Amino acid sequence: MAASSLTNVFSDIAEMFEIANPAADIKLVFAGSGSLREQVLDGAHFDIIATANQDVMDTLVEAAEVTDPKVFARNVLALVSPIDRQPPISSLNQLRESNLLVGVCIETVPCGALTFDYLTSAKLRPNIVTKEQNVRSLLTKVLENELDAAFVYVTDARLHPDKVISIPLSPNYLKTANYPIARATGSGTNEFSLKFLEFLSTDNVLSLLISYGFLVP
Amino acid sequence: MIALGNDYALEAHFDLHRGTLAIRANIKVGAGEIVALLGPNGAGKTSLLECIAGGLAISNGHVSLSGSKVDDPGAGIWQPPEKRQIGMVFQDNLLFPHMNVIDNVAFSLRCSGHSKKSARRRASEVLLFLGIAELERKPIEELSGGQTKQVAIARSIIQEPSLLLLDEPLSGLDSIAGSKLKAFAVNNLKALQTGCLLVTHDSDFVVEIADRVYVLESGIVTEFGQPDDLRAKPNTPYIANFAGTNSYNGVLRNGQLVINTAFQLQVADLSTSGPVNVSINPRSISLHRNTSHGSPRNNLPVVIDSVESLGDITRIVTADPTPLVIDITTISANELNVRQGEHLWATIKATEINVEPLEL
Amino acid sequence: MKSPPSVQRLPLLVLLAAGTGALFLIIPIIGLVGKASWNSLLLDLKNELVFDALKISITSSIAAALLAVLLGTPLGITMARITTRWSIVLRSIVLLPMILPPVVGGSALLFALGRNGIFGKPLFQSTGLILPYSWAGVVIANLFVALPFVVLSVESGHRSLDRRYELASASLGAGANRRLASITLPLLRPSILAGGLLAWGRALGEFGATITFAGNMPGTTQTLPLAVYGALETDRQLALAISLLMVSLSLFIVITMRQHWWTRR
Repeated sequence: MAASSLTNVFSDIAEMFEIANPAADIKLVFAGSGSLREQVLDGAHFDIIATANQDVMDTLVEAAEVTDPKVFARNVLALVSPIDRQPPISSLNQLRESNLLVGVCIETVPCGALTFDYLTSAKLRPNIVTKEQNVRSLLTKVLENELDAAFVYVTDARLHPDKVISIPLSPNYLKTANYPIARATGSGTNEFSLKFLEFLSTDNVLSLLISYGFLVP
Repeated sequence: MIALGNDYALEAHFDLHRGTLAIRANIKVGAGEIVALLGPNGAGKTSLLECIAGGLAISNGHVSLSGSKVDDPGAGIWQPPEKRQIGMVFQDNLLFPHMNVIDNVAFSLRCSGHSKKSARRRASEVLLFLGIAELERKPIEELSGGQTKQVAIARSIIQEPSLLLLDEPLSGLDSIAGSKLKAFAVNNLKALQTGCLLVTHDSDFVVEIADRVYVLESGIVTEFGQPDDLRAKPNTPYIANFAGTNSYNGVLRNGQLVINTAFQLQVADLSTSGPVNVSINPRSISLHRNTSHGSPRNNLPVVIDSVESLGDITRIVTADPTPLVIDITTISANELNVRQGEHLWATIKATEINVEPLEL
Repeated sequence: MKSPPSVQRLPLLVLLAAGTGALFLIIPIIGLVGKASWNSLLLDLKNELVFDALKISITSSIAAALLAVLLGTPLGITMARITTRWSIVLRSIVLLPMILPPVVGGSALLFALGRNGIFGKPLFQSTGLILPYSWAGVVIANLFVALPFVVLSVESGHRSLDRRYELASASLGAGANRRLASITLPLLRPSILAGGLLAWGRALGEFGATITFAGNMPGTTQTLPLAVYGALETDRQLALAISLLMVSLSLFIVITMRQHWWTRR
């Protein structure tokens, strides 16, 4: 189980793992971190879970559903704008204009929480017109030039280098999102669980993560 | 009779080709004339009426109302139904269910621009004229069959059209309402000089009120002539069947007629004796579930052989040894709910039995 | 004395299937009701988020239903009357919103009417009007999914009208306009109202097209379904409470709009 923002990178990692361990068969389930928490608490079966949010992982630890979480990657907030927007948006200050259409994630998802954290610290109040449920739908609207700017993850901005431009954010207020990963309690029988967790620290995986735009510990 | 020198209310000479229907029509109706149109079911009589009303376009020929052409494909003339000065009463009346009686009757006046008030006032007068003023405010669903028909008629004559089309007008009427309708046709329509073309299966109706008769058979409308001849001189099997005369041979003595051991009747003619030919009008026979008491009429036990619904009339044929063709109103047939094989009683008035000495 | 079995009695198999169907529909409702915390229900609902969502849902769904009736009735009547091959084309267009996943519908609306859309772009450039992210956008998304209900209801109602009413009224002197206004439309009233009601219900429940086209902004475009979805992430209790609110709304619609109200004259 993994947070939605890990979709692309985890698919690659899973493939790499299966090539290295032909006997392994990885089944990936992606969802919002909150949804993952609910599924686990409702009794869903899993071996490994990676969330985009430390709080969610903490809840699961408290509920004794997981053991020994470790942060394996971090993500940074980014501001993107459609590349063919005329006139282009180049600086953060332009966000103060009230006629811009700005999109964010809803505050109840990790990306949204991060965004509002930043906005509060930077004392910024852009004209937010929509709070999307996940980054993907936010990104889609940017790609279609239906939004002038949107707060997403760096990893999302990297997925479409030719369609969006990133606007630099002031590093003072920037917070990062931690991605903890853990294995389910009582899944010790699955030999590949531990192997997978170790796999994440190998050089190949680390360079993959960096190429996607993640920060690695 | 036709008033010579005036325009005909209807003059129609046309062909109609529609799907499998191919009809050649030649019909004239004079002002104040009542003309009947007979024919087997499915022959296209209703389609003919629709052509005259303007609901269907003819294929070639012309239709003229009161002297002016309303449909002539050759000359490119076509008048839509709303411009034709005709009234039409449908077999199932088609009163507008979302309006009450008075608004239904006033409808055509509203269409020609009258105010609601004046239209309703005139509608009141028409309802009074027809003797159904008390129905004014009633919703349509509360009317009886006869009342519905009367309102339908009121609705169609309020603007005094020169031609009235009636499609099986006796449908859904019991004999009392039927008599009222006949009286209305004979008295009021003629007084208004309204030409009337009516489609019916009721031979009595035709004989009683029609001035002339047309027959639509095998795709052609032919003028039959005098209504009385329908019974006396049927010239096609359809007509013979339409009039449906019951014809037998028997022996008559002192008013007692013997057709066979199971089939014996009292007749009114006491003077004739010996072998006779008997004819009985199918409309003069009534059918009951129980044998009626009281007046000494002929009550015959009969077995039903077939029941055939013919529009406003239902034709019942009984089996040997008492074969009879009985025509009753569809309403009575529905009340009786008669089925093949059932045992009922047929009642025939002595005065309705005609005897003619047989020439040997 | 035992009364004779009514003629309407159905075979046992049919009754069993009917019961299963009804049960299948009721079980989720029972789930909702069962898991709700009834003591805090009113408290949960008493917040600005819910009020805003309720207001937006009710106003946009009613607006969409009214527009659906205004546009759908003529379309339904037309479809019932045309006999050419164009009827197949029209029917496919009308059925499309019913078959498309609502999110796809919303995306399509965005491609057409968004700020950068095929029709939206010239609109924006000439008038500065932006349809997404506004209440109007919610109404448009609702209208898109709800319109077919009115069209189909009116069309089927018109097809079952006795055609001869046309000739009957024409023979009395009614021209085409009068026939439409005085005869056809009044006779179609039950179908129009039924279609409008269905459209309203559909609009109230709309989610995918709304979120994709109009976006999700509490106070502007966040409808009740969107609020539920948002709450599901973090506040299950609130989500349940709003869901129950929606169920009560539906019940309200059904109970007050009883059948006899619109079939009577």
